[in-house]
Amino acid sequence: MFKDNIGGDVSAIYLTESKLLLSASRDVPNFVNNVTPYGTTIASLNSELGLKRMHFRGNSGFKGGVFLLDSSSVLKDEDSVYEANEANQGGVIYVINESEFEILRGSFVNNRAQEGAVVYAMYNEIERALKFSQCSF
Amino acid sequence: MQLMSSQAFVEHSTFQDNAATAMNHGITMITSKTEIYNSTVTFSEGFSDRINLSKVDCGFFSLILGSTLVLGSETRIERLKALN
Repeated sequence: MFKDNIGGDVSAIYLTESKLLLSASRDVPNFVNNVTPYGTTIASLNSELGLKRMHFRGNSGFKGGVFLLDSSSVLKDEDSVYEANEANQGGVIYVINESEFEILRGSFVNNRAQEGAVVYAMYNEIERALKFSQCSF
Repeated sequence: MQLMSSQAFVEHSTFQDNAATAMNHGITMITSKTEIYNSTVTFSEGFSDRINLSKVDCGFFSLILGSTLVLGSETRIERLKALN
């Protein structure tokens, strides 16, 4: 569990040209109240993220309350919960520069942002780059 | 969601009682494309009576500067409310 961590740019995990695989039980929050004033909880540059049954609650950042996906990063997520996360842009995900995500059976509850309560996206022009399937918002 | 020069795809999903305090309750696109299939966007009965709509211009979709919205089969948009 990542809980109550404070970062400058990244409060939990930073990836550059790397791969991150996480799985857990979504019944118990596993990323909780991580805070960064300038960045995000998990930042990815040209990296791959594979997540299953995660629960992100109460995380906050500036660009992406949970994820910042940059420079051709790819996120694949199944059966995760995103609850009460917050950012200036992208309450859950800030995605930029030909990055992609595919979220299957995600649950998004009470996430907030000044722009894009769930997603704030720029320059991701691959067809169907940002994909939600069987999700609730 | 706010999309700029991006492409999104949504299927078999539900958007319920998502409320903004300004601009747009749902998806704002600038030079972007969104496809939605088999999905529902709705406010619960009476939900819009309890929120401040004074700065919300659009119910759910705002398309700007050459954006494209594709609403596919079995997609329902219902009971949304905005100022304009």
